[in-house]
Amino acid sequence: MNVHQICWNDVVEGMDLPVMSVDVTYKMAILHVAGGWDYMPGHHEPDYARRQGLKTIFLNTLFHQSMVDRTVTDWAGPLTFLMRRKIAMRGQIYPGDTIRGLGKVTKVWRGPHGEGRVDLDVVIRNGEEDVCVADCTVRLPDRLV
Amino acid sequence: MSDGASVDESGLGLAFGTYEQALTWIGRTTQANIGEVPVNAPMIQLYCSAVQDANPAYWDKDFAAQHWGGAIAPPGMLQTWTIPMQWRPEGRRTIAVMAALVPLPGDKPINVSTEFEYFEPVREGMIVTMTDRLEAISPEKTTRVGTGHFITSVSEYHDQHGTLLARATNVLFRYKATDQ
Repeated sequence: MNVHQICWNDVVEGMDLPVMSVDVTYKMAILHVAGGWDYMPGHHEPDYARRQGLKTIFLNTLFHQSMVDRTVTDWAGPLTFLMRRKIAMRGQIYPGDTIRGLGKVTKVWRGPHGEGRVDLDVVIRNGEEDVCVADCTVRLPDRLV
Repeated sequence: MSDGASVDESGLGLAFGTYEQALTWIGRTTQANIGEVPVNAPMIQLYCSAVQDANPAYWDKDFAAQHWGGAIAPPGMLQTWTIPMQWRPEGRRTIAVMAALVPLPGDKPINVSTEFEYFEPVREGMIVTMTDRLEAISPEKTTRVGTGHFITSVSEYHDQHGTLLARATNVLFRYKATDQ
């Protein structure tokens, strides 16, 4: 199988990642609750979400995590190991929204055993609003030649 | 219930009480939440179809065997493996998380930030166990959704052999909505 994979040696500090984009639908929100088992009512019950002070059902923590992860691994490839990810949720993602994942390489470094590590900042932008701000560290393979 | 105005509609088993009571809970750890089903490929692929993640490590058995030593799960769904089913013939369990168990006035939960460190890939066949320790509770604050407390807890995820898979530091806001 021919696989696209970014190697540690090819990453440069300051690089921008390709933009990831997702149209969030009600179907996706329901499918995500069914697949992720987070049955907190704000994620599937519009009346409850409104009593929470929000517009309608909103996408959960796992979804934010996965949008950050996709922004990184859609670019870096399937041999990437996520070592650390911090997300701060500053706004909501609702069905009907189109979100974009924007990433930037902030540091390229070696771990204590010489393994290739890359730090990245990732933002999930919903319209003009940065609804999720993240930073993470991944381990990438070295290029063999 | 010490606060008669608070009712748990969240399904999380919220306990109610005062901030002063809550402070005495700092440092406590929940019982272990043991995953009801082992990590498995159909659930991995259902999840990946929801977030439209095409990563072949989650979809292609041969690729995963060759490069990861077997099927692995996306890190973004780690919490899933310790959430109980919502109905069982003998009655359902509620997940034990400190943000719900600690007595506070707030009846609405919303997550604020989550930091994960991952130490090992989560593999098909693993039974994941989670314990959660209460770290800190903020004084009362008012945000755009309501008034309540920020709760910081640290969760550890292990496999059935005791290997530490991941550690998460979570901040959740438990509040009463402004318009109530």
